[in-house]
Amino acid sequence: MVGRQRRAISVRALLLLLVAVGSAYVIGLTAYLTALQLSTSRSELRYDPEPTLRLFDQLTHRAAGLAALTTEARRLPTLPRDQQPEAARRLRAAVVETFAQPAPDLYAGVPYASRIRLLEADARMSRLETVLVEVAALTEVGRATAADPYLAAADSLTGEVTAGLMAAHQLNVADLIRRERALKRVAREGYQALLAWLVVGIIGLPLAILVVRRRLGKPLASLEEGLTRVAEGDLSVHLPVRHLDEVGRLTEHFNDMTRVLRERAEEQGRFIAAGQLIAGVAHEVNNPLMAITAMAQIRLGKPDLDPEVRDDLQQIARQARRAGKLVSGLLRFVQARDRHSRLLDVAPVVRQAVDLVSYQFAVSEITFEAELTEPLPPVLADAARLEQVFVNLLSNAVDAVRQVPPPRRLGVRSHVGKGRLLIECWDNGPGIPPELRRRLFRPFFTTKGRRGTGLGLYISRQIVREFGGDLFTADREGGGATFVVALPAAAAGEATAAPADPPDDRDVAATPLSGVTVLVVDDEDAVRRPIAAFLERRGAVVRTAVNGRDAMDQLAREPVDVVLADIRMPVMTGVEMLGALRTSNPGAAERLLFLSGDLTSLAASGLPVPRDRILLKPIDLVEIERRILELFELDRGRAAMAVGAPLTPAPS
Amino acid sequence: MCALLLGAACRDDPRPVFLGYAFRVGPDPLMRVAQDALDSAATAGGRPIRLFRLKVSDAGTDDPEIEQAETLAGMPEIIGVIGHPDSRGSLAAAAIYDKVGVPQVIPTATARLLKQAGPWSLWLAPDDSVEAAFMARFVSEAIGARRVTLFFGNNAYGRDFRYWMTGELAARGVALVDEMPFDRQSDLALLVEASLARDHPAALIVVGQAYETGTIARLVHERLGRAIPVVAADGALEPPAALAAAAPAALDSIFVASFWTPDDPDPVSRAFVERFRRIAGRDPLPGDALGYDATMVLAAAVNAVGPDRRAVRDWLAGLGVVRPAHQGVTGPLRFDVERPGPVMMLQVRGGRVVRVAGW
Repeated sequence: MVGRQRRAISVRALLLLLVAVGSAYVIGLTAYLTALQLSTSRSELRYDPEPTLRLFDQLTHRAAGLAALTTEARRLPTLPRDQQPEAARRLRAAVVETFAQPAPDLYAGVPYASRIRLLEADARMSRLETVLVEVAALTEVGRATAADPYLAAADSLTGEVTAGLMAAHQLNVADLIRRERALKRVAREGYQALLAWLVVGIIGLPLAILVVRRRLGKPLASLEEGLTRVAEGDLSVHLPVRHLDEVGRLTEHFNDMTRVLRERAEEQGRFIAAGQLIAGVAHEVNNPLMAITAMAQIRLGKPDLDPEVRDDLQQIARQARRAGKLVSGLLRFVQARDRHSRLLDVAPVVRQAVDLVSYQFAVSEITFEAELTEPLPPVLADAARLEQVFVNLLSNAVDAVRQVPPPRRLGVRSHVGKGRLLIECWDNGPGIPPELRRRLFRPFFTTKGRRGTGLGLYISRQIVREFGGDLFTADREGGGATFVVALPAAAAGEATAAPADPPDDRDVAATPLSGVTVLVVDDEDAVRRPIAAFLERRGAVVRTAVNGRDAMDQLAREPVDVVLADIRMPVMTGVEMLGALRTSNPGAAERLLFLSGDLTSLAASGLPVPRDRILLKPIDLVEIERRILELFELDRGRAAMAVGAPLTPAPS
Repeated sequence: MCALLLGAACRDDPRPVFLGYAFRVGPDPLMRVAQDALDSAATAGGRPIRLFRLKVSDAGTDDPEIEQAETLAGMPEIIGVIGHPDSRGSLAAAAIYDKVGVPQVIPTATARLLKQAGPWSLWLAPDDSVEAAFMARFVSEAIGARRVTLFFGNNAYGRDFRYWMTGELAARGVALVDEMPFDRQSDLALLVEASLARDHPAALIVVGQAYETGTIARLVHERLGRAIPVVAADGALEPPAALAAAAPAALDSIFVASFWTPDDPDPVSRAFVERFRRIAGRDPLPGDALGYDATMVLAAAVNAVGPDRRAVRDWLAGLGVVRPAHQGVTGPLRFDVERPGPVMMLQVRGGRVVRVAGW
């Protein structure tokens, strides 16, 4: 990947950490400002000043009242004697009246120093009250003149009360000043602390944002950009992995998938190129094969052949046909075709897939065992895509058995039951470890390292599921692996069967083409000549042309019943000839059969050529004869129905 | 200023429960009696409980009750407090106990303001208004006096009593011919002379301690040449000897309001009197009985719910409500309703307190 990867705390842990730090910050700030600051304030203020002030007010009022009563008491001796008793009684009553309401005890909560002063003042006032009562009593009993010591005591007590209250007042004032200073200090410290918290917050928040951006924002943005580029088709994306955390691992997975997609795309490109190459090569191979087949069949048609030569010729024809089938299979497999599901017999599909991979059996000392209990019930599927599935399974099986020493065995086996057709593809390779079975069908899972894309089994299962079936693994006795393709069996019907090889022994003396004029158009003499010779031997009147232009010229001079033309030719191709005939000689265009070793060129031309007019090289000469007869008979029928038709069959 | 004094010797039990004893400051046989009862209960299977008392030095102490309350409330080992001795002290301490959450059982304080002291203060004695009403009734109905003079101490106890007494007398049609406050430094002879110069009452009501009550009774007796009934509040029996010494000739005319007497035939009361006599060598006073009840009901709460202040307070508040009243020396103890008032008048005869009247 990238060299500069750093081990880092996971994103989840980082987010949790950030949340925890944020919460701690908020809680800490709140706790500090409330609990700590408030407790500091409480410790500084120490107590509630209200009881002290209330008690001080009460005692001050009481002292003021007593001062007035003391003045009254001092006036008693100065009053006329007859007025003194009554004035004394009023004074005593006034003193007693101050007790009219029970007063709650207010000393609780008063600080020690103030309490001492106020208690002293309270005691002095109580004593003063009693002294005033005694002054009044003396006056009442006619001894007002003896009241001087009491009045002196009253004055002294009044002074002490005043001094005590003043002292308490000074304490209160000092305490209030101290409280004010303490409050100011607490408030200042609170502001400073709040400022410190805010500074921490102001620094911490951008830091947190920076961390989140670096660890989460940027990597996610990079990932999103990468995904966008992939969605736009750019598979060259490779994202840097800076931290080995969740996002880093996500980026690694992204890079892995992009690599696989890129390799897959490159592989597909190579596959397409190979397909095109095979298509081109197929033409060049099929023409010689066609020539070989035709030559051999021509020679085989001679009755006086030496038996040994006949056997050799038959072997030549058989091997040529086999080579032709292999080339056809390769073409079929690599060519892109429309998806077309139809009722089909799976057995030939399996056989075709086996044909494609069978070249590896001998080299790798693999014994192939087929147990297809035919006839198999038809299934609704696309033959080419189903063949792709079996090729994939068989290729995997070949790779698997190569890992074990001989004897190496693989095979296919069919079962039918419960409305399903099961095709098992088994091998005696190392088998599938249980821990891998669950992941086997996931995309991009491979046990082949960089050789594998990890998509084969995934795509195969998707294909089978499209047909209503499934692909799964099964246990196999004795080890190895078994993959099962399960397909729903369709109702019994006519399934398309693969064409069988034509028999080599035929009535060589017959002339079924008697009266039919055939124009054979092929640029290769080795092909053209044996075909022409065969058709002539079978009774046809044969003309030949070396390219499309030559054929057009001949057709312009003299009509024929059937035109048998190669597609890829110099000067004018078969397809170009078809286009020209459709304009100049539509009747002849309708009687045109194509011979081709490469269907891709026909498909690329864009011309709507019916598939039944195309004969794929190498083709058996008897099949050519059959198709000519078929077309000839069709045209003759049309001519019979259409009076004055231009086509005139040649007399036999 | 205050030194912690262990009220009773600790036994070997490593985890005793401590109760603060703030009922009396000086030498007090009641504390020894109560501790003896607690030890007996512990021996019988109860929880070991120790009484703590703070020794308050005289020098520099501005308010011993507040000092004691603040110290006791600050000691987490103290589960409850018995005290304080008077209304003023109990009220001052109540504010502190209420703030900290210490159950306080008040034995003898009678100020009606105790009702506002808070949920942590529970008092045993009826309040001043109840005692004043009883005394006014005694004056009116038993003595038949229609004119009375009131002498009261110029302190929280006396002033509060005076407040309620004036109302009760007026309600019964008894004329209050004079009111005379006094203190410990007062010239009681002058005050008595002045009061009698104003009017001669049919009876005296005195709210003060034993010495002051006896002195006033003696002075009135001497000045009038005859004894007039002196109806005194419960403080006059603290102690009875002082009352007898101050007014030996007028002792028969002094009636002291009370709600318990040592000759109470109730078994619990008898056991207490016997224990008290054995340890203190004298008869217990009503104040002793209330102090003893306060101690024992607090101990019962600790034994019931363990050393937990709130649980103890809740257990005490539930007496007579969610659990039966505690059977004390002075009768069934409960704190949900006001206690019945004094039901008897006592006199000191031959050095002993005896019951002379009651309802």
